[in-house]
Amino acid sequence: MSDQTTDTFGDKTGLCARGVPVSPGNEIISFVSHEFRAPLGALMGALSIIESGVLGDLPPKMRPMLEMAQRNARRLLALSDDLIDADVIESGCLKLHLSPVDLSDVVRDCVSANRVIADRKGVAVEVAAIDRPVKVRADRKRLEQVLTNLLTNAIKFSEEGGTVDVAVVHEGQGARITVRDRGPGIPADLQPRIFQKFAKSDDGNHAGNGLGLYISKAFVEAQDGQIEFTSQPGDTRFVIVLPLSFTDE
Amino acid sequence: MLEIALATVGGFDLQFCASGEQALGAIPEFAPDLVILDVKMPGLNGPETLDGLRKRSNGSDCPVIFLTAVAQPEILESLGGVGAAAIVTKPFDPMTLADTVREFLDR
Repeated sequence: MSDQTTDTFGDKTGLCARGVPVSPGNEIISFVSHEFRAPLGALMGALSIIESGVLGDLPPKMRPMLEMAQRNARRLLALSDDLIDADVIESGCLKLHLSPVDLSDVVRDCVSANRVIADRKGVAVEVAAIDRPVKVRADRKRLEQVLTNLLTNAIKFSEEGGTVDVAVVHEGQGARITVRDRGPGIPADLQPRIFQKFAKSDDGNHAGNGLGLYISKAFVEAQDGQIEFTSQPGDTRFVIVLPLSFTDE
Repeated sequence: MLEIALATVGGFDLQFCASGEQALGAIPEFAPDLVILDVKMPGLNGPETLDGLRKRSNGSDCPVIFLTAVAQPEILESLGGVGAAAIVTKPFDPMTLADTVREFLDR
């Protein structure tokens, strides 16, 4: 049995429930992003079929080209998904499916899902021991998206051989999740803008579309939470606080 | 892509039908172990085809999987209530679709 409610964030007029955005999103962006999904899916599907070798062995020389094609296809798909989310947020039509969620479970799932990326970069992800379930009232899918965003950023900005720490603790009426990396830190001039759309570092080495934190902040706040960060060279911490769930479902 | 995912990768025998109506006509003779239906189709849509299948006497309890590009949870939930064994969203991963299908056949 689950206690599921659908909350529409920012919907002051009830218009959203009738399918009308409460404030203008960007119609063109939304249309284009949705139209991208099917061709991108086909592109990635075709590339993974080629990679698998079921249609014939891939000459070794071709492999790096194939991997580059796959990386870029994934990047486009991520951008397309982020644009869709950003548009939903902007038009005030974000719908959440809230239920009691075990934070330690979500953290474990996200860390494990990103194990391959971390290993490939030689970055260790350490989760501080959580001895009991920590239940928050959240939209599990969106929460996973936020944690994945913070985790992949932390891994991205870590040096090879570095460590990313994830911790979950009770704090009063809330649960606090901290994701910490020991990378170069967020540049001072970027820090005030970090949660705005298209905020990203000028460093071309760290590919990102600049929407992740804007989206993460909107999702966290829609779940009655807060997100903050501190950053200096060698120590960057993103902290999310979410209200605990006291229901028993 | 579906053909490669299921026939080449999965080793399944496939029959393709261009519409829900055609599927209802072909199923009794082909006697599939599983039917995969698109949700949006001209003529009979996925749920309507499933309904038509269940009303027939032969092939009526063959499991059905819906394949859909729709991602909204509410719509997926309502699709789930129609009697399909599973819903697979598009774009699907062609390398793992066969495994998903096999899981349902093994049940």
